[in-house]
Amino acid sequence: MIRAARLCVAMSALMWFMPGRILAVPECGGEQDSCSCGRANYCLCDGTCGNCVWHAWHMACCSWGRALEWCTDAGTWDEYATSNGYPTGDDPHDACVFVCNPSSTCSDYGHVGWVVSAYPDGSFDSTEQYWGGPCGTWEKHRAAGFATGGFIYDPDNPDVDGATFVSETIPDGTHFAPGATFTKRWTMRNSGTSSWTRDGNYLWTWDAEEQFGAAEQTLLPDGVSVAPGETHDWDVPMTAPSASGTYRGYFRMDNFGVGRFGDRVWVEIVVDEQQPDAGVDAGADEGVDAGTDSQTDAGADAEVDAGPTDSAPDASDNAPADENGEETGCRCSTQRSTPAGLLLILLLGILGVGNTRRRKRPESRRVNQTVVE
Amino acid sequence: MRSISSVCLLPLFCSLFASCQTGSDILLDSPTEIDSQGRFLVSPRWSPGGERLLLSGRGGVGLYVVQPDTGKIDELDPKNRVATGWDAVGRVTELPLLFDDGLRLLYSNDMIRVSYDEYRGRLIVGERGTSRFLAENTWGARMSPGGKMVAFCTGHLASAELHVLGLDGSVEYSGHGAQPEWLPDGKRLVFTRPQAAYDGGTAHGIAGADLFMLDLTTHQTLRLTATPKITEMQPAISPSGRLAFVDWRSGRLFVAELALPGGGS
Repeated sequence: MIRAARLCVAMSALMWFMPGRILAVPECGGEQDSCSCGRANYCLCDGTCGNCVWHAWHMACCSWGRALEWCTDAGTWDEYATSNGYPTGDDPHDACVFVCNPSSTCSDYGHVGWVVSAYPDGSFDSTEQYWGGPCGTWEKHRAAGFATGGFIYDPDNPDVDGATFVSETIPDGTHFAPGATFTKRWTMRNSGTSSWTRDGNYLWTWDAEEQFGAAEQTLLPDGVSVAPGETHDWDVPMTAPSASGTYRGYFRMDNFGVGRFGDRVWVEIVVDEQQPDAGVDAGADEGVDAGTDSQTDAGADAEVDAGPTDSAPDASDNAPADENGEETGCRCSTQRSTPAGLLLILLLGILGVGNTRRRKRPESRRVNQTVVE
Repeated sequence: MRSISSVCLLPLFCSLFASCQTGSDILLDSPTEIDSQGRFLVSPRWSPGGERLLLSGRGGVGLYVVQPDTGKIDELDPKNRVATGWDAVGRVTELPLLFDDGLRLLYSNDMIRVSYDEYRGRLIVGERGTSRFLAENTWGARMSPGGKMVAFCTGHLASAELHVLGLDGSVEYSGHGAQPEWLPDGKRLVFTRPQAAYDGGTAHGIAGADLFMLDLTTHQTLRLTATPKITEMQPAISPSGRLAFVDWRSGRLFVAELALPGGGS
């Protein structure tokens, strides 16, 4: 295995330093070099069996539209990334390169692969190839900590989305009459590096459990931009369920078409039994103004049409459930062509021609929207 | 997703258990949510005595010990990124991520040694001075108590295939599932069955998950949870058969008693 890896490195280095760097390796591990990123994939393949660096280079080409400036042995990729100005870090993101340092685990020359999906426990799904087999392109799942050399991110999309809970109105346990209407406000700080704008598809979304009749998506007003470090108040009109009980619903920031991110917050209320003589005209337009006992600084403007029927317990509990944003979310898919039978190393200075697989946001298909004006 | 036949070294791997019997559901009886005090917790690991849980924070960062019976949470290190676990006497200890020979030892006795090559995902059985591959491109391998079978996964997490093999290569189970954890009897295991999220027609991440239990005596798969709003992941079984799991949507921690037909755990 080590001998094979050495050969891989030696040949990759040879190809890199050849005058004009004209070698192209159009196929490896069942994948074709079909993406356009300014040059053909010149990383060596082990016959047509596979090579980790060929695949990682290929995926960066397809997903980022960028021809990486190096194709050295895997264990040096983090260093070359840094020296070439690529952002790097310790956390897996969707659509980035992982690096496993040279070690007894990842051979004397290290290992690289492509991160497809990152998960909350620090693990990630990947696609990978190996020098020396098993041949082909493999879907893997890697545990947190496997990428000892860290991760290399897309330099054209270095922004990271982040949202941190600041304050809220309607604390957990607030009592409402059945069908009462109220407006929950969450104040969120932009803790990422990207600005939130309506045109950028940043919105507030219902995420899970009880929806309280709220809009699934709440948009930013036109022209509003929430810069990193700034806060924004998300006001969401809601209606208490008609049956008594305790209800909770989750809400979160969404970079629509890319992914939800940031602290995942919730509203939790207690709906009391309907009291015929209680004098609360739940849900009616002229609902009793029972007065919120707002516990947060941001609560002054919160609107409660049919108010809490009891004082709220501890204010507190809508603490962030989710501390880091989910990442820039480029999407990629792995080509899976039928493995070719022949090794083709072409001495051609032809640039690859084919599909460019850049991140694309899907067409907006917003539903049931509310615009906070 | 590659076919199982291309993943495993065993020729009959694919077809033997393409579908398995499904018995009556035994839904968990009101799992207890442990108040995590706003923390996003993942990766529960029971202490040897079964009274404490070691957990990580979001992204695998941070280290916490939770006592489910009292709700007490100790924050050991909010910035920890080092793989940790319990030692035999219940102390939290750093786990070696890399091994001198590149292999992680899963099980050994006087006759047999089962190890795992993390790089290529190879399960290797050493016996009588020889070694053979049991499977490759695997992850998440768990040896059964007693060392007779090994459960492992292949593919991406969201669409993972769960396999159970005897060390002689016999196929005990193959089906959709991930993150297997053995019950102490060595005949049953709990696993999660993620539902893939789709982005533009491509599976990408997880949209939800539920827990199931596989009984290898009857080859029945029993559903333990049916909660579309909770993404039950990372089941962990205590030595007494107590089940812990986390909700990957909210980072909430749950503990439940397994009331199993056929007698305890």
